[in-house]
Amino acid sequence: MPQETIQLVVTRFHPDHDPVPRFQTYTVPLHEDWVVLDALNYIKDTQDGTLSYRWSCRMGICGSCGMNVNGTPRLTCATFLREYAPGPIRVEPLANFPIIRDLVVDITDFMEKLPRVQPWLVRQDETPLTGGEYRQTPGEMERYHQFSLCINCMLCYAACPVYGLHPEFIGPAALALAHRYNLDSRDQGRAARQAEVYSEEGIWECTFVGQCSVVCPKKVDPAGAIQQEKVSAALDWLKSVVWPWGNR
Amino acid sequence: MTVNSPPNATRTYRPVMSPTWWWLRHPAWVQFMLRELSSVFIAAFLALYLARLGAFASGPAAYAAFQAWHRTPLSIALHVLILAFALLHSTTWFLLTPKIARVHVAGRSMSEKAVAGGALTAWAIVSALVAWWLLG
Amino acid sequence: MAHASRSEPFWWSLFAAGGVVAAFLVPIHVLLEGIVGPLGGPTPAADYDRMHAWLASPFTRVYLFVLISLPLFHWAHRFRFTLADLGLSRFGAWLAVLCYGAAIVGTALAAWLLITAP
Repeated sequence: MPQETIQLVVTRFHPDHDPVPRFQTYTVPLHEDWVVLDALNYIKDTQDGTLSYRWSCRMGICGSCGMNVNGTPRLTCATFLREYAPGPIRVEPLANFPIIRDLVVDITDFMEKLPRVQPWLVRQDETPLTGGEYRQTPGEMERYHQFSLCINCMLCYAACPVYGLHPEFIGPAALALAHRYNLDSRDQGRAARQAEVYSEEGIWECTFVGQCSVVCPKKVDPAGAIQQEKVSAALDWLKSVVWPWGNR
Repeated sequence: MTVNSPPNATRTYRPVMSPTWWWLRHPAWVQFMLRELSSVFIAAFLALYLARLGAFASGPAAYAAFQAWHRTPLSIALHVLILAFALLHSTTWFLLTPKIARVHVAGRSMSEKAVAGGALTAWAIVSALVAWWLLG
Repeated sequence: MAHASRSEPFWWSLFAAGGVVAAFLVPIHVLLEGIVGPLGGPTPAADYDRMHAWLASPFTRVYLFVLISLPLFHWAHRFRFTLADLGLSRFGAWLAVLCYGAAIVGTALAAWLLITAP
């Protein structure tokens, strides 16, 4: 019995030869247990060693194999070929990022935006190590836990039309991480994050398309995080009007 | 479509979205655009309500003429269209409520389904109360 | 250096409040006053005398003011961002003036009509 196959239509771009990206079609075996990344590895090993893409862990935690599969951002290590049978499957680099080569994108913009929201514990009063750890109840941990699961795979940026249209937008993952620390009982950095998070390039740029949360492989829900920050910012604003003398 | 040459000499290719028609490229974006455009139909309803109050202020004859227009097939069709978009607004609004408002009961956060279900139920009750008030 | 916006929380609050009001109230009003009423159903808006009796209550006037004004700001905010996302973002400030301005005019008109209604 002949082996079942499926076609992959893959973006190719070589900065020295291609003025614009083009597509190249490969045919790979359609194995029940193969994911898109397996197919790309098969192509690179047996058909075309020049194909470039990023990957590492193959188990949905390193966040480096994100690509647009049939127009939707996916982790290719967690996207089975059989979902798309009989094909063909269009494999493109993550949308909204500059393409360096083939399926490899330039993530500099995200790397520059991430630290702007100070996604780490910020303390006004740093206690010495001898004072022990900052303790937290399970309930306090539950408040932010979901938002701490981000693996920086940037699928949410590729899914966000606001980021595509307005590249200055700080974007879903960074704002969700800001929210994660704002919700942390050990953190005292909300005021310090405000200038970036509550700016017009921050939460107010978001129109709640919601696709960031749909594509998130870790169910972080950046869209929810951003709207919840809008509520906080609106309440801050209300307090500052009703009680302008209060400590903001 | 533009090609950038960043200072590090690696030429990258930056795909650019159509500033006007980008939303046609993904079904979820079409849904989003319809949701946002629902506000235009809600605004049409509000404008019609202002017109209703204006006609009322002008006296019985003007108001009767206004109501006569409401009985035309054109007006009925327009209101069916407005109703469809108003329903789209309400359902999307209430289904997204749990993303914005995290409800904690007895120290545990309620599931998204429970919050959305509660919001939809409240909508049904409010609609029934308003109907009872208007028709009662 | 970015800075926290002072105006966006204000407009967003009006947008959110208007969205809630519209979600709860607009469909039933459209159904009853735009479709059922004109087809013969009994609503307060069906004729001048019933409207007159209905508007005699201050509660009705306050209710109608909320029903009209807050959802106007809901529309204004959404429409402003929709226009920006349809390629007009370079006119950002003008879009805000136009949309919120229309909502403010509509709100003032609603207040005037409801205060002066016979």
